[in-house]
Amino acid sequence: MTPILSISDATKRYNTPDGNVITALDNVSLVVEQNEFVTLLGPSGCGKTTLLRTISGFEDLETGSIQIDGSTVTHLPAHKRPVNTVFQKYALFPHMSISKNVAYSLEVSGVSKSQITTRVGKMLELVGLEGFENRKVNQLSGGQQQRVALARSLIAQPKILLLDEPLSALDKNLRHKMQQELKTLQEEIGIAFVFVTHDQEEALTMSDRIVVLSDGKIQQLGTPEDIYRRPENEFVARFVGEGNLFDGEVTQSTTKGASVTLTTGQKTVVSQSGLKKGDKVKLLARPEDVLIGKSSNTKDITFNGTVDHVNFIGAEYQILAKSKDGTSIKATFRPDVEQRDQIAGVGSDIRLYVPKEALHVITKEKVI
Amino acid sequence: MASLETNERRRRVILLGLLTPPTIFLAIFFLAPLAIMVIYSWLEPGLYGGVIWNFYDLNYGRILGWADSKYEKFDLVYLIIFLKSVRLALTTVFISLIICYPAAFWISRMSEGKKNLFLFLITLPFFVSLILRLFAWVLILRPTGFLNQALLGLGIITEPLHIIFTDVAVIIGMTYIFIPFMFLPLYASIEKLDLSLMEASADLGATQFQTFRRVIFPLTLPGIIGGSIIVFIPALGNFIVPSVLGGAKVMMIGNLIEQQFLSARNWPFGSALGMIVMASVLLLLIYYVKIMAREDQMTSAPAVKEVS
Amino acid sequence: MKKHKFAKAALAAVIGLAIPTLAAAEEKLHLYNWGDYINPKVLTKFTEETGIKVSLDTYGTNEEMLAKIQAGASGYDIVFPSVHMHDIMSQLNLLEKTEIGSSPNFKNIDTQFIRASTDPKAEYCLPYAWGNVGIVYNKNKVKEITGWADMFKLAAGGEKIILLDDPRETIAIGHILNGTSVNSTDEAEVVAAAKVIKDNLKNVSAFSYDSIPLVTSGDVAAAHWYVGANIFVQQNPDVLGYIIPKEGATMYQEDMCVLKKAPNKANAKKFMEFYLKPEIAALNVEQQMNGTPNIPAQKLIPKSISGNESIYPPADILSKLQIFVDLGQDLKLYNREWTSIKTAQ
Repeated sequence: MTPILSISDATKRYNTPDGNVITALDNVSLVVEQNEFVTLLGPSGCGKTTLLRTISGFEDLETGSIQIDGSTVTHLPAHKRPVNTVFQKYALFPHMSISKNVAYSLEVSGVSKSQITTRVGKMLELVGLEGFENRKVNQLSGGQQQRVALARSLIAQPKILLLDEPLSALDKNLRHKMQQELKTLQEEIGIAFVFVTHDQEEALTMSDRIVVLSDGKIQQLGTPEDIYRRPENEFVARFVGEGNLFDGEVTQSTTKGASVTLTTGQKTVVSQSGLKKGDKVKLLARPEDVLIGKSSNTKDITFNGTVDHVNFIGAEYQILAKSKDGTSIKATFRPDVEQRDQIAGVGSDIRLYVPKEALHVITKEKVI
Repeated sequence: MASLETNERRRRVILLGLLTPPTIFLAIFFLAPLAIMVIYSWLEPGLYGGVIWNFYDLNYGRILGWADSKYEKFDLVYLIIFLKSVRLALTTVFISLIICYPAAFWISRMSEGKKNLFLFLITLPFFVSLILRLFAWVLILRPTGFLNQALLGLGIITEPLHIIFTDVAVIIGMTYIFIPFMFLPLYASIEKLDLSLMEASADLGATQFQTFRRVIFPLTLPGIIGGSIIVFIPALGNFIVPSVLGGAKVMMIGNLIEQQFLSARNWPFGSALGMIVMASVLLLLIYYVKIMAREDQMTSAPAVKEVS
Repeated sequence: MKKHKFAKAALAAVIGLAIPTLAAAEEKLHLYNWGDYINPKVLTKFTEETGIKVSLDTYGTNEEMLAKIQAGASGYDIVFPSVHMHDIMSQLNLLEKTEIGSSPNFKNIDTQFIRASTDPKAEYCLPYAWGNVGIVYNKNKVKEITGWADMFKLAAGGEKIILLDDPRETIAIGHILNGTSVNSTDEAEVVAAAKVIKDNLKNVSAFSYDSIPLVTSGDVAAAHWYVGANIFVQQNPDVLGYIIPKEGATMYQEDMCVLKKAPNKANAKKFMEFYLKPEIAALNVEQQMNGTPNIPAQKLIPKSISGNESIYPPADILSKLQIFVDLGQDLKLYNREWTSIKTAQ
C-alpha cells in the first residue's frame, strides 16, 4: 500500500526582519501510512507548524518534495490539495451559521444543494451537534466550536486531516475529553491525522507515532513507548516526560551490554550493545522507576539523601531528594493503602535505588 | 438601607453632572441649528434675507410641485439638480472605494512602523487648506496644466484634454478630498480581518475569488458601507469643489443652497432644499445603523469556554 | 465689485501701527470691506495722522456682508456696500446718519455719484469708488475684441471664455445685447436675456471669479471681469488687455457707510473726512486702479490711470454704463433664470 503522505528532504528557511536566516525545516523526511495518527511534537519554534503548513500548502518548500497518496503536490496551491486543516483558533467564519460553515467546502466546489443538506446533517450528527444548524459561531462554547471546525474540515472527505494545536484553547477537563473523541473519530472514519502539539502528554495519549522536532530537524520518530522509554538523545528524554539523568563513562563493552561507572563512583551495567569503552554517556531513569528502600543488587544505582520536597498529586506522590554531594533525584510513588502514612516527611533521611533494568543509555545530546 | 439610597442618589447626581455638558453641547450646536432650519423652511422669505413669521408652504411647493405663482413656481429643475448631485456623489463613493480597498489591504499588511507612516501620509492633506488644494488641482487639470503637459510630452495625446470645469474634474476633486474618509473606516474593518479565515477558506478548497466573495467581502462590508456613507453625505452637499473645479457650470445641490442663502437672499427656500437633502441622508443613516447592529452581533468575540 | 470669493474672503488682514507717543486709552476703528479694496497705505497714513488704530476684515459679496451684519456681527464701524445694498441697508435701518454731505470738503465729490435713492443728500454715506465690468483677454489668443458679441463669437470659434458666477452680472450681458435695461423686471425680458446666455452656454467653460490666472496662462481666451483687471494688465501689458464692451456694460459703485451699531462713530466720521482729502483718494486709486468720485483727486493721480479710457471712459461710453438697483421681490426672477442657465445643457 502506498503511504498516504511522504515528505522527502524538505527544507524551508525564513529571513527575519533583523536580517538573520532561520532554518525552520532542515532536510526533513517523513512517511505517514494510511489511517495513521501521527503527532508532530516539539517546543515552539521547532518547525512543527511550518511542516504542517507545507503539507496544507500555505508554505512553499525551498527544496524537497511532498507526495499525497502517490501524487506530487509540492507546488500545488492550498485550495487544490486533498487535505483539510483544523486551525488552532478554529478560524470559523463569524458571519455564517454553523451549517454554512460546515457546508463551505462543498459549496465552493459546486456540490448540489440537496446533497449538501444531507452531508451537513450527517456530519453534524457525527460530531454531536444536531440541532445547532442555524446558530451563529459566537453562540457556541469552545468545545462546540472545536467540533464545528472538525465537521467543516472532514465534510469534503480529505485524505489527510491536519490539526494545528486544536485543543490548546480548551480547559484541561475538556481537553482530555476531546482527546478521546478525536482518537475515536479518527478510528471511525479511518483517515490519517497529522496532529501538531507542544503538549507531550497529549502526544503520548493519542498518537500511533510521534515525530519529535527541534531546530527544524526530526529528533526522533517512533511509537509513544519508543519515545518515552527509549529516547534517542538527551533532548527527547528531557522534552518527553520527566527523568533523572546520571552522567557516566563506559568502562567495558561486550556484545551483550556494557559496564558504566557514574561520576559518583557507582558502577552499573546496561544491556545496550554497540557502546565503546571510554564513551561519555548519560543514564536515564524515569521517576516512576526510582524505588524506595535498599537494593539487593550491587549493580543497581543507589542514592542516600534527605527529602527536599514532597508533592501530593492525587494518585501519586512526587519526591525530590538531595544527597550530601548536592545531586538530586526525582521519584514518584503510588503507595498502597497501608503505606500511605509512612511517606517520608521533608527533611527526613531517605534511601532510594534504581534497578539496573530500568536504565536507558543516551549517548547523544541532540540531532544537529 | 439608608446608605444604599444615598449612594444611589450620589451616583445619579454624578451621572447627571457628566451627561449635562455634552447634552447642552449637542442641543446648542446640533439640535438648535436643525430646529432653525426646520422652522425657516416653513416661513415666508424676507425681502432682504431673513424671514417673515408667516406660515408658508411654497418653499416646498417649488421643489415638490404645488407652487404656481409669478415668484414661487414649481420647477422640476431642483429635483434634477438633486439627482445629479446624487449621481456625482455616488460616482465619487465608487471611485474612492475602488482606490481605497486595495490600498487598505496593502497597508494593513505592512510592518507597524510603515503602517503608521502611511496612515499619517493619508491624513497629511488635512494640514493644508482645502481651497489651496483645490486651486492646485486647477493648475494640474487646466489645458496648459501639468497633466496635459505630461501627457502631451509623452505623446499619449496630441490635443490637450478638457477636464477642468467638467463633471470629471468635480469627481476627481471630490474623490481626492474624500479619500481619507473612505480609507479610515475601510482600513479599520480590513485590519481586524483575521488572516486565518482566508487560509481556512483556501484550505477548504475556495479559489482566491471565492474567498473574496464569500469571506473577505462580507466581513469588510460594514467598513465599505461606513466609508461609503461618510463619503456620500458630504459629497452630496459639497459646493466648493463644483464651484472651483466645475467652474460653477457643474451645479450641485450644495451650490443651489449656498446661492439661496447668499445672492438670492431666500433663506426659507435654502432651508427647504437643505431639509430635502437631510431627509434623504437620514434614511441612509437609518439603514447604516441597522447594518452596524448586525455587525455587532456578528463580531462580538467568540467565547472559547465550555460548560461541560 | 466682487473678487476672489473664497480665497480672499477668508483672509482677514489686521493692520495697525501703534504710535508710541499716544496716550494710554487707545482709539480704534474697525473696517469691514471687500477683499483687496483699499490701499493699505491709506490706513497707515490715517493712523499716523490721528493715532487711531485701524483693523480690517474682509468679505466677498454684498450678501455675505449683509447676512453677517443682520446676524448680529458687532464691532464693525464702517462698511462698503454697493449702491443697491446701500439702499437695502437704509431700508433695514442699519446705517447711522453722519451728515457727511455737510462737510466742507464734500464739495470735492462729483454730485452725479450720490446715487442711492434712499440717501439723496449724502446724509449717511460717502461715495467711495466706482468701476465698470468689462472683458479681460489674452492678447496672444485674441487679435481684436470690441464687445460682448465678439467674445461670444470667439467662444463659438472654439476658444474658451469665462463669465462671472453672478446672476445679475451675467444676465445683464443678455440685457445689454438685447437692448433692455439691466434692471428690467419684465419677466419676458429677463427670460430673453437669460436665453442669450443659454444660447452661448456650450462655449462658456466656467462661471467663476478666479479667471485672471487662466486668462494669463492662455487656458482661457477672454473673461467677464472687473476694471480692477487693469492691475494685472499693468503687470503683464504684452499678454493681457481690458476693454469696456462697445455695446455697453454695467458699472458698480461702493459707498462708505457707518453702521448704526458702530462702537467708534466719532472715529468713523474722522475717517470719512480724511478720505475726502484729494491726496488720500488719489493714493487709494494709485493702487486700486479704479474710479474715484473726488474731482480734485483725479488731477493728482498718474496719467497712466486717469488717461486710461477703460478706467475713466469718455462721456459717450460712460453714458452706456448701467448701474444695478435693488429689485426687491423681482430678484427671484433672476435667480430662477440663473438656476435654469446652470442646469441647461
